[in-house]
Amino acid sequence: MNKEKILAGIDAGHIRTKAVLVKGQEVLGYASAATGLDAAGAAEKALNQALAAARVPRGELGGLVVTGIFKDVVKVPELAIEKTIPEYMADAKGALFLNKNSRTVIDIGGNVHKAVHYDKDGNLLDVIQNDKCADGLGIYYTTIAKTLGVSEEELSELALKSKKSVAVAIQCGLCAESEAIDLMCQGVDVADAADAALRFIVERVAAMASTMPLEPEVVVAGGLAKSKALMKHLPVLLKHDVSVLSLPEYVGAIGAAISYEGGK
Amino acid sequence: MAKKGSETIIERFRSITENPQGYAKSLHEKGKLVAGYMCTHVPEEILYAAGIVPVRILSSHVSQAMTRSYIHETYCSFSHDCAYQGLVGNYDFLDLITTSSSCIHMGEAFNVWVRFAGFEGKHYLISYPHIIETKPAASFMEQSYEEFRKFLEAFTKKPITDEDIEKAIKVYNHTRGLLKRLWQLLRRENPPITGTDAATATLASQFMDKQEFNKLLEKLLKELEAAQGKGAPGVRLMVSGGACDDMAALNLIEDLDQKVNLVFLDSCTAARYFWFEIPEGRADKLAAIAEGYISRIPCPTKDNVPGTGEKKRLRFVQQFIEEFKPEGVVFMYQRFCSPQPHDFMALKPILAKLGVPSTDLELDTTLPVNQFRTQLEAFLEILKPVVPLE
Repeated sequence: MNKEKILAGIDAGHIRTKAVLVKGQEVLGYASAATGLDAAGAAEKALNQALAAARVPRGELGGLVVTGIFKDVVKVPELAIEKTIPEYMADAKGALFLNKNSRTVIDIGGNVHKAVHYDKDGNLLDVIQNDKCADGLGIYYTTIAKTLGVSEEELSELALKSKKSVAVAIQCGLCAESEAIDLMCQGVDVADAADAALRFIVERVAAMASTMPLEPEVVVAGGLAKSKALMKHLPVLLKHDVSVLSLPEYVGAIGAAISYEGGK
Repeated sequence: MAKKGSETIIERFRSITENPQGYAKSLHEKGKLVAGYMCTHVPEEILYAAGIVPVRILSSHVSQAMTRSYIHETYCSFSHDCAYQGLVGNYDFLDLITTSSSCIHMGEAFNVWVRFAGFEGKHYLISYPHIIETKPAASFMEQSYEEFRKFLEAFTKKPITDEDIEKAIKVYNHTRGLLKRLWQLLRRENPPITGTDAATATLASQFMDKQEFNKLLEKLLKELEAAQGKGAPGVRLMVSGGACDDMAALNLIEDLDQKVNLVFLDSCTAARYFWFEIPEGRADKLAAIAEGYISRIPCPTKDNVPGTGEKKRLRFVQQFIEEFKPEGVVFMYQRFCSPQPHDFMALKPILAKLGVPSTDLELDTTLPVNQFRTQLEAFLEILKPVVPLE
């Protein structure tokens, strides 16, 4: 990796677009913006905020690489994006950058969750992505928070207070949400309903991830990795130790940044 | 206050349905050979004749996603739940797992047990004709049963005599006769047992050693047949569906604001399991078993008369409606089961002709209590409007 240049990476995701600035082994700044209907605008906004956070003028950027589901949409002339890389590759590179002992990353994002297995150099060995019925776990998380009348941060805290295990249907987020409401109609404690609703997410992630060899260390990325309630259940259902990466939602963007010029 | 004998027996049945693997394990610990079976097309009589206790694998009602990696997402939750129990080792102690080629969802659950749950080499798939209303079906079944018999002889290292099979047929016919008597009590205007308790006893019969079950059910019937019903009669409902093994769903039906009597359960966990007999005293025992199983109320996966497309099951349903006089029918089926809802489409005109309204409930591993309650209460309101409050 070029240790002299300041490199930028953008991860244009379903829900949020993340931007980071990296120099050598250091993350200089990061920011995110809601992707919404204007992915290119969100990328511009996130990048500018990251530059401001790092106090780096735009002109000093040595390279800009983009990943994420909207990577081809945000490749507008104004952004001067030099390269795009697939999300799996960005996840592997970013996870390895943040934890050099990691060999598997589970990324739980807004719309897609995936697991990536890689070698010590970040070369992909195996990848798996959720099936259609398990799409949108991040969106579901936000919806459940709204349903229960709490913020996303409060939802995790609420679920951690659960004392009794109850369950919701695990077919899809819609069924799970509907049954979380049904639990509350039955007078189930809201903390228990929150825990059941969140355990649904982990059930789906664990079911997907357990189909490939989970070579240690297993690390977790994506916005939902910040939820302690989810991370309480994940090692139990995976039957495997996991650790959450620092800046979990920026792993893809970091992976993109350090892939500039092939990571040389 | 001391509990009545009938209550104690029903509690025993309930405890077995709530922990069937615990019961099966206790048989295993007593030195008995125990086989799991995944479909009621498995001729239990042949297993029993071989000295093996058949124990049905049914739902554990645990909401989980781990089976999504093993069988298709859109297979029914019942098959997922059965596969799950193999994967988590609920039945590790079983000597054998069997099923018959019936529905593909349960076939996949069986494959999960064989391929991923340690039952490779301890399994047997019984070939079963896809359509049973054909001339060659009986001889096909006979041949298939003969192969099963040979497999079990090799497995247990002892011959299965015709006398063994005849004894097993008699034990099983006795169970079926007792269960029929139990459900006949529900024909009364004010039955002495709830439909849920009758369903619980029926479910317990699918897990238990039949001789032990028969003794308990005989005692229960002796008491119930002399008993009076409790309280005023309720709205009479019949449930028709697939694997209705969630007693909480049936309990919900009988626990609504309006009093309800669940009077009949047409499902493979109830009437379809026992509403037939195997001819006794025949020279060819396996032909007799084939004849008995062909005469059953067919499962929708097998029910199609070639040439006419007629569904034999519909005649049975009509007969049950005429005998048990339900005022409404609740169709209850596993989500993603295809044959069952198709049958309902064919059944609806028949119900309309009989003047019996119906409603549908879609089962999953979990039970959306309030959604079902709302739907059922609306259905009852249609059947018997409640006098509005002044």
